[in-house]
Amino acid sequence: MSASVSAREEHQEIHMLKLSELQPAEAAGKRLLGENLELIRNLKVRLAVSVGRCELTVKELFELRESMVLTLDKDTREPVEISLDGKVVARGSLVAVDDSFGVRITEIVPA
Amino acid sequence: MSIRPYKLINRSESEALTARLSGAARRWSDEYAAGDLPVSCRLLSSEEIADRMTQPEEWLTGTSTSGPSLAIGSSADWPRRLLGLLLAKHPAADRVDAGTLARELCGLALQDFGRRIVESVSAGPRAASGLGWSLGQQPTGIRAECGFVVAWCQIGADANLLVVLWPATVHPSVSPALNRRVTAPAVEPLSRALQDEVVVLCALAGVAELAVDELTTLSVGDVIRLDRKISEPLDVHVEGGSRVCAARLGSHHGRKALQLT
Repeated sequence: MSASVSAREEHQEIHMLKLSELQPAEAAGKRLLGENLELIRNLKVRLAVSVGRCELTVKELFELRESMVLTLDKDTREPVEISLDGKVVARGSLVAVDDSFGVRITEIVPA
Repeated sequence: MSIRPYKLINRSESEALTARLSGAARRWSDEYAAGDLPVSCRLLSSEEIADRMTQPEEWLTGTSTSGPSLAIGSSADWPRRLLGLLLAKHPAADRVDAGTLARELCGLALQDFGRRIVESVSAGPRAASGLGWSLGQQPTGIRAECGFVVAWCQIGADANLLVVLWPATVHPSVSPALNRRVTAPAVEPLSRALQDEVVVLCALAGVAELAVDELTTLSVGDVIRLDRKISEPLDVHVEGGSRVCAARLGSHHGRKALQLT
């Protein structure tokens, strides 16, 4: 049985809804939420691990060839950077985890 | 530094300015003629003059009813008081004929070593009379249609700099060289125009997806497994942009390095 049939048989009144115009308050109201990360605890984020950078001109970029060696801006002992949306959130050392790359955290600022 | 607008000067200031410029030019000329003063001069390209106009130099410009006709820029070594005469606030009532002023100033500047300048300008890019002049493109930044010669002179080992915009009409000897048509530069392909822009390449060892909950409990010593196998090459990206290529991670002279694959 459909909802409209049910309403007719039970003598319910059906009206169209009219949305009232909302007026933003001139003064800012009370904050509803603090910076509570618990609220987004299940949100999945993507961390990217960068081992280093180098600067090239566009001309040099277009002249890159296979087997060329590019020296990066970090020496071999410097940590890798762990970034979230382009912002460095931690540093660490590059390790092998079984047959995959991994990173062991050496520096992180607590949330 | 902003380029200050031209301020009109009165007759006595004009005469004082002319006298001082004349004195400086003559002194330089004498020293140059005596072989005591090395002078190197060249014309500025339109790019250089546009750039130079943003440099911390003072500029003296003249205006006539037909538009700007003279500008002199200088480094700190040029007597600033002279420039101050033109740059200071003065009522416009006692208008100087800037065309006449330009002729006087340039005539004085062209005396002695100036003659050699004109000869070498007329001779084109070839160095002449020991002055490293070359004929550049007429500047487009400042009323190029007026036909300016823009010159940059280094005078003496202590680098007195004098930058002069001469209108082509100031000295007839300059005009023929100026009146040669300057070929419009060819339109460059964008890829060539971009050649000197700098890009940053970034080598990524991999990514890992974590829940915020896991992220907030991370601490020193924890290990995150990345999505890339040790046997796989790393991805090289233009920072903030696309993947460029793959590369093997290694070291080179003590630094991390990539060998492109």
